Amino acid sequence: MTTVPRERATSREVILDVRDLTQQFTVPGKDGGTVHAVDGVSFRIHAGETLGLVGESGCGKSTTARAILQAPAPTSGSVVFQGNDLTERSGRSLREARSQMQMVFQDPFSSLNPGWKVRDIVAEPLAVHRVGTAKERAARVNELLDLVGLDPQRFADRTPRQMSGGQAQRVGIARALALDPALVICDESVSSLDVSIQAQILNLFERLGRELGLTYLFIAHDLAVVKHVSDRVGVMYLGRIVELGSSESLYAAPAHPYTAALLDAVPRVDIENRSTSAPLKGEIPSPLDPPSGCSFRTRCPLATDRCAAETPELRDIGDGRQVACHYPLTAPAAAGTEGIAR
Amino acid sequence: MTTTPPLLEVENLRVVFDGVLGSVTAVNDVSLSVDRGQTIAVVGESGSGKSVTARTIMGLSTPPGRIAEGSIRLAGRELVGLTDRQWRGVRGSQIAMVFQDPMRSLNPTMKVGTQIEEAIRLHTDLSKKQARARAVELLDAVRIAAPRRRVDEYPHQLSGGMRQRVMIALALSCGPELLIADEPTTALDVTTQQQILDLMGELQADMGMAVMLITHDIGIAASYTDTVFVMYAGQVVESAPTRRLFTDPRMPYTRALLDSIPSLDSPAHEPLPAIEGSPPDLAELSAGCSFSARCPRATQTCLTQRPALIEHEAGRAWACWHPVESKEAS
Repeated sequence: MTTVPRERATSREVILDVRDLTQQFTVPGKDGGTVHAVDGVSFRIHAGETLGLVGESGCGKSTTARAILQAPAPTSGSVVFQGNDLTERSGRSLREARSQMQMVFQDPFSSLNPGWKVRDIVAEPLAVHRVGTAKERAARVNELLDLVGLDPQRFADRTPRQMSGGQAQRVGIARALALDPALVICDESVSSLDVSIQAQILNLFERLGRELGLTYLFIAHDLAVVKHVSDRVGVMYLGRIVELGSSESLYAAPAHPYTAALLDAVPRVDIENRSTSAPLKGEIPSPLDPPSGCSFRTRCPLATDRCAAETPELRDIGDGRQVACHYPLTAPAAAGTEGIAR
Repeated sequence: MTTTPPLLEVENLRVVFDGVLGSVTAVNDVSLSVDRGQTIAVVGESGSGKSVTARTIMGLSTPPGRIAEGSIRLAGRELVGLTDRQWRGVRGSQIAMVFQDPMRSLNPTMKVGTQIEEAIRLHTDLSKKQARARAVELLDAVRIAAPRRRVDEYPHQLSGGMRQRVMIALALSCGPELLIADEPTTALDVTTQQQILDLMGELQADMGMAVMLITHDIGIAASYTDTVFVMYAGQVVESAPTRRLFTDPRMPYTRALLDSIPSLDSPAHEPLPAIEGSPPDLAELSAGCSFSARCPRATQTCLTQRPALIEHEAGRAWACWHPVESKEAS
C-alpha cells in the first residue's frame, strides 16, 4: 500500500505480452461487413518502460487498449499480463488479475462521475476490491491526492465540475493509482488539455513513473507527446502495427513510409526543421474494405505490385526495430547517418 | 509599414458577457489588424478569447455577449453597430468563416451541392443552373475528386477531411476578402490537417484573400502564417512577424508557452518547463497583468498595474513590464 520511491529502471522482465491480438466488429446492413479494428497486433512491454502507440483516428490504438483490458474481450489472440492470460479468465478471477492494470482516459469530465466527490471517486477502486477499513481507505485517498499534486484539504470535497480540466485529470490519475498498479494505460490522457496544463500532467506521469516504478502503455495521436514519454514507440495503421522501435531511432530515421509521412505532416515551431517533402495523398481507406496486401499501399509513394499481392509481416530489421514493409526506408544501423532512402 | 490601410482593423475591442452572477470580460481591449492577402494567426489556450474575437468580427456575438467598446473596420467601413440586415450583406460575401467541426456546421439533411448553391444565390443573382455549375467548380477547386457526383451527396457520406473541404468551398463561394478559420483542422488527423492547411494556402494565393487563423496549435501558427497575435485571458499579450515571435519571444507567457510544448526533436523523458497554475478566472480579473500570478518575472508593479500592448519595435508589440531579454540584442 505504501508508495516507496523506487528508481525507474527498465528490466527485461516482460510484464505484458500481447500476441496476435484481433478485434473484429460486425456492422449490420447492406453496407456492412466485418471491421478488422485490430488485426494481428503483437508486442511486449518490459517492467518499468513506457511503450507509446501512435496513429491516426481509426487505426485501432484505443481498441487495442480496450482489448487488453478485456473490455470487450478480443476476438482472438492472447494477453499475458504478469504471467496470466487474461483472455482465459472471466468474472472475479479476471477482475483480480486485472486490478494491477489501470487506465487513465482522455476526458476526465466524462470518465469521472459528476455527482461524486473527489474523495469517493478515488476511494471507489479500494471499496470495490475491499481494501482496508473505511479509515484506512480515507487515509489512502489523502495520500493519493498528495501524490498527484492536489491538496486534500482543498479538493477532496469538490465534484469534478468544480475543478479545472488539469485538476480533474489529476483525480483520474489518483483513481488509477489507488490499487498500486504495475501497468497504467493512458489513452489520449493529455489530449483534451491546454498545452500549459498538458506539460504539467506529462511531468506528473514521468515523476510517478520514477517514484512508483510504473510501466506505461501510452496511447496518443500527438507524435511529439508520445516521443516525450516513451522508450519505445509503435506506429499503427488500419489495425496493424507497421513499425516498432526505440523512440529516439524511430523518430530520427523512420523505416516505414507511413511513419515518415506522419512525422513530416506535423507542423513544426522551429522553421529550420520544416519538412519539404510532398504531403501524403488520399485518406485512410475504410476498415470495412481494406486494400489487399499492405494496407498503406494506396497512399504509399513507394508501392509496387508486390505490395498489393503480399501482406508484409512485421519483421526485425536489427537494433530492436521491427517494420512491416517490403521496402523499408532505412536500416536502423544507418540511423543518423546519410543514405536514408527518401 | 504598408501605405495602404489594412483590410481589417480591430481597435480596443471589449466583449462582455452579462450573467446573473456578474459580467465576464471575454475580450479585453483587443487591437489587431490584417492586411490584404495576409495570413495572421491568433493563438491562445481555451478561454483566451480567441474564438470570441473571431465570432465578434464575423458579427456573430449574440446575447448575453455584447460589444462593450471598440471598433471593427473592414476596408474602412465600421461594422460595430450594423443592423442584422446590414451584417448579412457583409457576412458570407466580404468575410466568411470556417469552423472546427464541419459536421455541426453543415446541414445534415441537405446535399452538399444544394448548400453551396443556396449560399451563392443568397449573395449573387446567378440562376439555379449557374449556381450549380459554380458549386461543382468550387468542389473541384478544393480538390474534391469527382465533384459532379459529390454535389449530390450528403455530409454523412463524406470523410471528415472532405467535409472540411466542403466548408471551405462554401466559405469561398462568394469570394470573400477575409476568411476567418477557427481551429479548422483541430478535429482532423495530422495527415489530413496538412492537406487542408496546404489547400487553404494555395487558395489564398489564388484568390488574394486575407486569412485569420484561430488556433491553439503553435506549430500551425509557425508553419502557415505571416504574423502572430498571442492571446491570454482576453487580451493580446504579444504580436510579431511569425518568425521573430518564435525565435525571439519577448512576453514571458509566449516564452513559457513555447517552452512547455514537447518537440519532435527533443530527447525523451526530459522534464518540460511547465507553466504552474492555471489561467485566471475571467470573472475575477485583478487590476494587474493577467499573467502575473504565474509569471516568474512578476514584481509588485505587475500585480497592481495592467501593462498595455505597446509597439516597442516596428511590427512588434508586447504587453509586459519586464519583457524577456531579446536574443537578438547586440
